Amino acid sequence: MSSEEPRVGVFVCHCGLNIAGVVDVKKVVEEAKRLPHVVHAEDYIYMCSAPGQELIKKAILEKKLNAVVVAACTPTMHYETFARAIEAVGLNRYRLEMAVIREFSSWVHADKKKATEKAIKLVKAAVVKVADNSPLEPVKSRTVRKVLVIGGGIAGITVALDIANAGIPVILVEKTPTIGGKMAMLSETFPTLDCAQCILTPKMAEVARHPLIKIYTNSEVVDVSGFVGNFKVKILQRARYVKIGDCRLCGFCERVCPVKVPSEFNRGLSDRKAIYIPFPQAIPPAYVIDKANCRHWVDGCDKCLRVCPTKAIDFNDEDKLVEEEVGVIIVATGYDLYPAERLKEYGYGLYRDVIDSLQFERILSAGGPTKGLILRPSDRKPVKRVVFIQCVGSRDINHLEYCSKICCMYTAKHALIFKERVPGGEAYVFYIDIRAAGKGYEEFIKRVQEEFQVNYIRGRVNRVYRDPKTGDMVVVGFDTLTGQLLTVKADLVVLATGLVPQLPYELASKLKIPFDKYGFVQEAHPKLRPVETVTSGVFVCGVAHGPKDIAETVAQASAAAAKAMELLYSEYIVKEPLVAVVDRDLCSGCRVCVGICPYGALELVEGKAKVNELLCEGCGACVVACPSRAIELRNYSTKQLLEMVKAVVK
Amino acid sequence: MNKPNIVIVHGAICGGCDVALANSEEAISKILENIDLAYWSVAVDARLSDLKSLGKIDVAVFMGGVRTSEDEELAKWLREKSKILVAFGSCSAYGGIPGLAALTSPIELINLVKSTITTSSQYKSIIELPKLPELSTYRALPHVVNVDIVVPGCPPPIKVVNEFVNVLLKYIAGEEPIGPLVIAGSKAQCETCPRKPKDLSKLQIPSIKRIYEAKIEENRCFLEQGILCLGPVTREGCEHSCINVNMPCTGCFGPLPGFEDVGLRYIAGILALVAVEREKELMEQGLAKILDKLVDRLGVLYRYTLPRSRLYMLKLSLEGSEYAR
Repeated sequence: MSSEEPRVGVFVCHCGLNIAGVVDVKKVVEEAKRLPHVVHAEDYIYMCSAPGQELIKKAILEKKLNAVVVAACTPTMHYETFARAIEAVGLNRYRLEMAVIREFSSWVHADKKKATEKAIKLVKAAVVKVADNSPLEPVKSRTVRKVLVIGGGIAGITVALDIANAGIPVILVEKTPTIGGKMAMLSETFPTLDCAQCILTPKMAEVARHPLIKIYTNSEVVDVSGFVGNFKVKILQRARYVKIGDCRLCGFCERVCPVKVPSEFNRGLSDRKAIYIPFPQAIPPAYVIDKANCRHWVDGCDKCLRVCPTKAIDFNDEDKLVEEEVGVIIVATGYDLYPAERLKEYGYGLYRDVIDSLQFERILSAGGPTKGLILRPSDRKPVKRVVFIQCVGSRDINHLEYCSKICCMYTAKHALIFKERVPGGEAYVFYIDIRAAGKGYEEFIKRVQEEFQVNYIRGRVNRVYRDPKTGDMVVVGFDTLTGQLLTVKADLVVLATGLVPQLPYELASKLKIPFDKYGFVQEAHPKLRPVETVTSGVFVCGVAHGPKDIAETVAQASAAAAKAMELLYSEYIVKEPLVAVVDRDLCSGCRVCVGICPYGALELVEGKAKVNELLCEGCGACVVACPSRAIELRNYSTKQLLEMVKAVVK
Repeated sequence: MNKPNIVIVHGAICGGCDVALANSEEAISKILENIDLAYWSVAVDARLSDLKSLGKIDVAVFMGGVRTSEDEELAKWLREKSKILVAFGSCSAYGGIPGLAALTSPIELINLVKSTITTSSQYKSIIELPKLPELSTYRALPHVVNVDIVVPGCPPPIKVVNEFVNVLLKYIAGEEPIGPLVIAGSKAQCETCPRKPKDLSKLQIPSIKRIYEAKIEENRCFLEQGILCLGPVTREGCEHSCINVNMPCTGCFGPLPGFEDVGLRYIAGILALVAVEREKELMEQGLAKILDKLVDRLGVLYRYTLPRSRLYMLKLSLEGSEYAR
C-alpha cells in the first residue's frame, strides 16, 4: 500500500468450539506475533460478537494498526461485520483480510496438530496479503430507474404491477399479440377452482391503464448491452397492421376476412381469421393481422380495410426497432408444453381425440371452441369416458428427466370439472405417483378420488389406438397395484404434457445468464438468492426458472419485484472495487483480454485495453490471459498471490 | 590509449549470426574503427589457443547455445575474463532452434545421428568419428553465466545489430554501465504490427488452421484468420520481417519482460481464445479436437525458447540435474 509501514493486527476467533475444539488458537496467536509487520495478536471466543468487534476497534486505536487480519469463518459470512467494525474507527475496509481457519481447517480436519499448522499458514498468507492491500473506494454509477420485464404472462404481469405501483416505470415486452400468457388459456385453477380469466383479466386491464407501464406486444428483445443500472436494450416491435388506438373491436374485419387458419389460442381446436384478436379481453384491445397468412400481400385483398369504420387498418405498417434504457431486467419468459407427438405410443397428432392438457383447458373454457361443452374434437360427440395420462414427457429419461410439478394437480382438476359437467361420466387417471405438496392440494386430490370417484390407476400406458369399428380410443396400460394389463375404451384421451422453458438461447447469452441442462434459468443461489441470476441486475421469475404453479409464480414474481426495487431504491449502484486494472504502458493492444472476458468488461480505447469497472466482476481471466502481463486485479496482484503462496508452502 | 578489444565466440550455431553481423556495414565499420577485433574465427584466421592467450577482454560476444562441455567451459572462461558479455542471437539468448533438441538426451541424439549416417556401406567400417567434445545438458547462455546484453533475433536484424554497436560505443566512450539489457522493445509485436484486425474491438479465433490450409488475407491479423502467430507473447523491435512477408511471427525475439515461458503464456492467453464463442457446442464434440491442428506443439510454442521453459526445468529437476532451477 502506501508510504507508511504496515502495522497488522491478527485476531483469532474460537467460534465457540467450532475452531478452538480442533485448532490450538493460543498457538496461532503466538505464531502470528512473530510474523513480519504484525504488531498485535489476540484471540477471543466470538470475534463477531459485539465485544469481539470492540476488541478489534480498541486494538486499532491503541496499537495504531493500519491493517487487520481476522482468522475466523469465511468472508461470505462475516466480512461485512468486520469491515464495518474497522470502518467505524477510520480504517479503510479493504485493509481487512480474513484467514479462513474454520471452513478450511477446523471443520475439515481431525488431526489437531496439523489443523493448527494449517491455520498458522493461512494466517501467514493473510498477513502478507493485507500488508500489500490498497485502501480502495467503491465504484459508483447512476442507475436508470426503469425496469424491463420480458414476458407478459402472469409472472410478468405481477412483477410489472408490483414495480409500477411502487412508482418505478416498467417496460413490458411480450412476444405474442396480447399479454396474459398461458394463464389466459386456462378454464379454472386448482385447488380453489377460481375461473382463471376472472382473476387474470382484471390484472391485465390494470396493466393496460397503468400510466407507468409501457407495453410492447408482438415484440422481442433482440439485443442487450450495458450493465446493472445501465442496460441498453433493443426491442423489435413487429408490425401489427392495425392501429391500436383506433381499433374499436367491432369485428367487421374478422367477418369479411376470407382466410381461415388454426387458432393458436385455442391450440388448433378452432379456426381464426388472418385478422383476429386472440381472445375478447386481449390487451392491448386491438385486432392484429397475421402477415404470413393474409392475402393482402398475395393478391391485394383489402376487404377488412374497406369495412373498417375507423380506418384502423394500415397495410404500410412496418417492423420497428426500439431502443430503451433500463436499470433492471426481469426474465419471465414462461413455458411451452413438451411436444407430445414425440411420445409416439400415445398417438398425439395422429388421432384428433388425443389432446394435450392446454387443449383440454380450452375445451373446458366457456370462451373456448366448444363453449365449455365437453365434446370430442373428431366428431363433436359428447364425451362420456375420458382417460388422463400423467407424466407425459416428464420423469422420463427419454424425454424430460424432471418432474413438471403441476400436472398431478391440473389433471385432478380436469377430472373434477369433467365429472361435474358430465353426470354419469367416467374418468380414469394413469399416474406414477401423485405429487400434491401444497396448501390444500392433498385434500383436493382426496376429494377428486373419493367424492368425485375418479379412477386412479397406478401405472404407465403402453399404447393408445383407435378402434376402427367404433371410432373410440383404446388405452392399454398396466395397473401395477393389481398386476393386470388394463384396456380402457374412451371417447377422449388427455395427455398431461410436461413443461419446457422457452427462453431463447440467444437471449440468455445476451443477458449473460446461465441456464441448466433443460434450459431453465439458473438462480444465483438455490436457497438464498432464488430470483437473482449471476449477472447483477438480471432477475428471473415464473416457469422460466423452473416448473411451478400460479401461486408460486406470483409469489416469486413479487420477490423479483422486491429485489428490483431494492436495487433501484438508491440513485447509485455501488460495486466492489476489486476489479482488473490495465497498465496502459505495458499493453500492446493485442485484444486477447477482450475476447476472453466473460462479462464484456474490456474494450479497446485508443489501441489499449480499458476495463469498465462496473461490468468487471473481478474473475481474473484477463490477468491470466494477458500476454504482456499488463493487467492486475486490485488487491489480488500477482505479487501478492505469489507472496501468499510462498507464505503457505514455506 | 589502447583500443578496447572485442572477441566473437561460438557455441552451437548455424553461422547465421556471423552473417548478420557481417551484413551490417555500418556496424562492422564502427567496430573496426573503434574496437580491436581480437578474435572472430569465422572472419579472421585464429585458433582457440589465440583467444586463450589474450591478456584481457573488454567485450565478449557469444553466439549460439551451450551444447557441449567445451561451450560451457568457454562461456565460464569468458565471463571471468571479460567486462561485458553479450548473448548474441536467439540460440545464445533463449536456446534457439538447436534448443528444440533439449528434451532429448545426448545419448539418444548421438544414436540418432549414428543410425542415420548414409555413408555407403563399403566405407562404413573405416570411417571413424573424430573425437568430439562431450554433449552436455543444453542451455541458453544466461542459464550458464550472467550476461550483460541480450541481442535477440534469428538472426538479429540489421537495425538491432546497429543499435547494439551503438550501445557498445557509448560504453567505450565511458557511459556507465550497461547492466542487463535486451536490445528490443519491451512490448509485444502487436503494439507496432502493421496488420490490422477486421474486428477492431476484440480478438476472436474461429479455429486453428495450418498455413497451407488457409488463404491468408494480407494486412489482416493472423490470429483472427486462425493462423497461430506468436506476436502477442513476443517482444517487438524486429521490424516485423516475417509478418511483412505474410508469415506469422514464430517468436525469435523471445518472451516479454516478466516471464520466461512463452508456451504457457500462449496457452493461457491465445489458445484459450480458440473457438471461445462455440465452447458449449464444441464441448459435446470434444473441444480438444481443435488442438489436433496444432501438430508440432513444442515447435510452435517454444521454437526459440524451449531451454528456458518450465517444461525443460521440470525435466531437469525430475532427472535430478544440477542445472534445474
